[in-house]
Amino acid sequence: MSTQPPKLATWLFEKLCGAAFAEDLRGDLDEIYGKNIQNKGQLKANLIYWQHTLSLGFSYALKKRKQDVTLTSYSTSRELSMLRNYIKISIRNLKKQKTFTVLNIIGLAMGMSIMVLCLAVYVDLLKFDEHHVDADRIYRVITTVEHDGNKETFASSPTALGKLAKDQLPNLEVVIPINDQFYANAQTNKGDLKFQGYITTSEFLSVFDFPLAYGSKTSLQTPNSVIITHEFAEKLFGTDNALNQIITTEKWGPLKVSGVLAPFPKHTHFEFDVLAGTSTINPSKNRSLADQWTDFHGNYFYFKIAEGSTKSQIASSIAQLAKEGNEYFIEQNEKATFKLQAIVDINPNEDISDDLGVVFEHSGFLLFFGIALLILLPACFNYTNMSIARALHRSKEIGIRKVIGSQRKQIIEQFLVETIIVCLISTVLSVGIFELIKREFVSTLADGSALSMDLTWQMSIAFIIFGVLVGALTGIVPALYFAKISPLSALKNNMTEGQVSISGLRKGLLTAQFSLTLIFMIGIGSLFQQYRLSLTHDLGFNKENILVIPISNQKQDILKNTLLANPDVRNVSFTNSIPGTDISNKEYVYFKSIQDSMRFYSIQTSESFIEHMDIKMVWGNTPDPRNKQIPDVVVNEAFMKDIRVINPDSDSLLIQLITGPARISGVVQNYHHEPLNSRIYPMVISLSENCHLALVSITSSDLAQTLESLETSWNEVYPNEQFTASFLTDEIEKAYEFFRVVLKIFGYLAFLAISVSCLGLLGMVIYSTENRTKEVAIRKILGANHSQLLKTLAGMFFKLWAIAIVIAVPVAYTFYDLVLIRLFNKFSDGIGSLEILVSVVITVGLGTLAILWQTNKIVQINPANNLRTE
Amino acid sequence: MKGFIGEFEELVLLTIANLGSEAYGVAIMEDITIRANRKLSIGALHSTLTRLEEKGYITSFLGEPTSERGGRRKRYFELTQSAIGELNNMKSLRDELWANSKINLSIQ
Repeated sequence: MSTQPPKLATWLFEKLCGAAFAEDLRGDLDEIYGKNIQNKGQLKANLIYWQHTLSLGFSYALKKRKQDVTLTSYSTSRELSMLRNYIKISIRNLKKQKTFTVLNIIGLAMGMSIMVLCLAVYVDLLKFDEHHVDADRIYRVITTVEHDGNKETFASSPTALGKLAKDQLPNLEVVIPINDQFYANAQTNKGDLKFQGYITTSEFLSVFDFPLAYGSKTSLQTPNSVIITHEFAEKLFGTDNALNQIITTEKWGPLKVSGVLAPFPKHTHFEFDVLAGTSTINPSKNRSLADQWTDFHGNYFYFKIAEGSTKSQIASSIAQLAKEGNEYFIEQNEKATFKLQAIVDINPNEDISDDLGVVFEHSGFLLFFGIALLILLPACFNYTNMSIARALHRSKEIGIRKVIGSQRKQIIEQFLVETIIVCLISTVLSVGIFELIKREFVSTLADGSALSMDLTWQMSIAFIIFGVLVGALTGIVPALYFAKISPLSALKNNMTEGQVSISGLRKGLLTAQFSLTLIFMIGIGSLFQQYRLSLTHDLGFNKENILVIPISNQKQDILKNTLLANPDVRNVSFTNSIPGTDISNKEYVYFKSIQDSMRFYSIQTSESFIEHMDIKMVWGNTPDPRNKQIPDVVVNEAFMKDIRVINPDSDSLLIQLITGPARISGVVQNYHHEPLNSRIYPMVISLSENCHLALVSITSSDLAQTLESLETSWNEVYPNEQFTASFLTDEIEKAYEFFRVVLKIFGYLAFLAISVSCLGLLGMVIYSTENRTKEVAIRKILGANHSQLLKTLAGMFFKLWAIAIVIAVPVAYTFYDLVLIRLFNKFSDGIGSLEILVSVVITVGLGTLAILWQTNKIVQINPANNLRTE
Repeated sequence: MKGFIGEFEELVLLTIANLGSEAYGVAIMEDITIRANRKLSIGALHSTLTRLEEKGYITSFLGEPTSERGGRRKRYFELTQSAIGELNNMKSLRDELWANSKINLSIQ
């Protein structure tokens, strides 16, 4: 036994063993080595020794022994009481440092609120369409069309394929075709009411869980009968028992209500007011087979598979059936493939074209999530920052814990538990905030009405998991930091060194946070300014002192004359579309010679409209009502420009509209008939005697009296109708609702960002001033005055602000000027320096307040009090 | 439940039984290497021994220091009553399967 085993291997094994008992294991190793060295020679013995050492070093045997050693102080059965201990100590600690706890909880709650909102929407969406019976067996076919190498996926699918599947696949229990083009205006005595409906079969109601309140499912088989929703019935008829009532539409003729659905829960992607049967309208009637295959826009094909069949079986049979359509797609140089999508997977979905009903897409979510993260991360960072900053106060506690025998793991656990408690309290608070803002938020979302956002148990679980997760992620950095502290230096109170100053990384993060806040603040500032500018923008027509009065179609001439007899009324004209608001009526002009058409916006007015509104004519005359054969119309400059691009018959002023031929009698200067977020599109103003709005210019010193006299005149003409009037400027302001929504969202985000960063700032200032109380006291005794002290204490923060401003202003300017405000005001002159300046001053002002509030407190203290304790 | 222990575990248990009072790490390893003609590392063996001990099939005690191992003690292993019961279960299970075999399993 003269030769020893390789030293390195022995050393490694000892290291791997640590405190574990391994005498017998090493004995075994040495024994094998001894035998091998006699039989196989040293080199081979060494190799084998290495092999055995490594296999034993990483074996379960050793791992178990090591565990046994560490667990001697407390066993798994005591895990729970240990947790109780952690929680108790955490709560004591949190109570001891009330200011920090409150700052942290409020900051985190604000930071988490947007993420909670994001989570709630997501959890809500996961429940979509799960309430249908056998929802797991309901699918729809989605189509991917490849054209010139571009792939696009549609939620719709060819009607021909649906028919084939229905006839030939026995393992489809029910096949439900849906066509979503059943929309029209229902005529009521209060004006037209738009509705949206599906053309489907009565199976729709047996597969999807929409219970009927009145009527029967099979009534859809009767031509011209429809089933309507509870809400639509109430809107249209004022009562939900609308059975056998008639809905009059221009497009589809009279429709008889043969059923009313009971109110159904939200959480479905289907969105309709009316269901009509294929017996009323057959979408595939008079369509060639080629069209039924390739032109499938708006046609959907849902089915329930028979029990025992699998998705893949059906998918392959459908792929087989789809081969029949191949030739038609090839004719169009396209290639179509079909996939099945489960109804429960529709929401949330990847980006898909031609969607049916309410669909929230992943990409939109990602953006939402990103914004939520932008708000949450600074809050988490503030917590981390403040916790580490408190190290000075906690180092002794940690030192004593370590000396007593606390392990690294236990210190980490202690701090994690503390952070998680804080985060859970914050979660509760942020759910409170969420409850306050959720209605408002949902109303700003398109399709938001489909979300219920009720606090369900699934949501609560998601929130708790989220809180714990945020706690763990936020807490891990301070926990690791504290676990690293050496007990000796902690007890000797050596922590002060290198701790008073804030490290570079933390300075960087603070700056980033300030920048973010500034960017949000500049955003809200510039948007607000743009909103103001939009309302004062010169729209190209006179909008002052004009009343908008809804009227009925009759006796307009009499009304005009009666109103004009009133001394306060200067002018009266009629229109179908309020200038300065959205135009709903889009039409096409058709050019036979070149087989092309051009889209334009169409409005109908009375003869005097152009003159009354002060809209400038650049050529020609206002339309003459006497030309009945071929009516006169007036177009705008944009129309002339576009028509020149298309270049139809050289110089003719005759154009072909849907209503028949018309003659262009004049051209008006481009004016903003639509809100400023819309470009000026080609527009045609034609004459009509059936306008439903009167525009009345008034000059009045006493508004109330004028309105009263107008009402008296009104009652002479329409004794049975209510007089309502609003100012044109108010109506225009209403058209900017989209802008106010954005302002609201941005305002809230900016508020959160600035609150979170001010709270964080306050925390950092408190920390850095507390650590320097003695220094301040000594400086004071040596003769420093207030402003000098403030400079020493707060100087660093102002430097960081300055850097943040240098970073944020150009970024914000470029982004908002080039991208954001153009979305809302196409005619903006860009962002002015004033709004940037105001936003920056407000932000810095609030930050400064936070800094000075605390520093001032320290500076005010009598230095003797600070030094006496020593 | 019959057949709760794995094949290798069974092999180790039977080897311990064969070695009697001399069942310690290296001896078990060598015995298995020679008898079953299979290579195994000391790490794998000790892991299995640890698991068997956890399951309560074997107990272990430390022996006297010996000079051949640089004065280090050996850890001896002994079967417990439950191991004997389990081995019997295994054996009867196998016997039963052999006896009921529908094809002739004997080697010609």
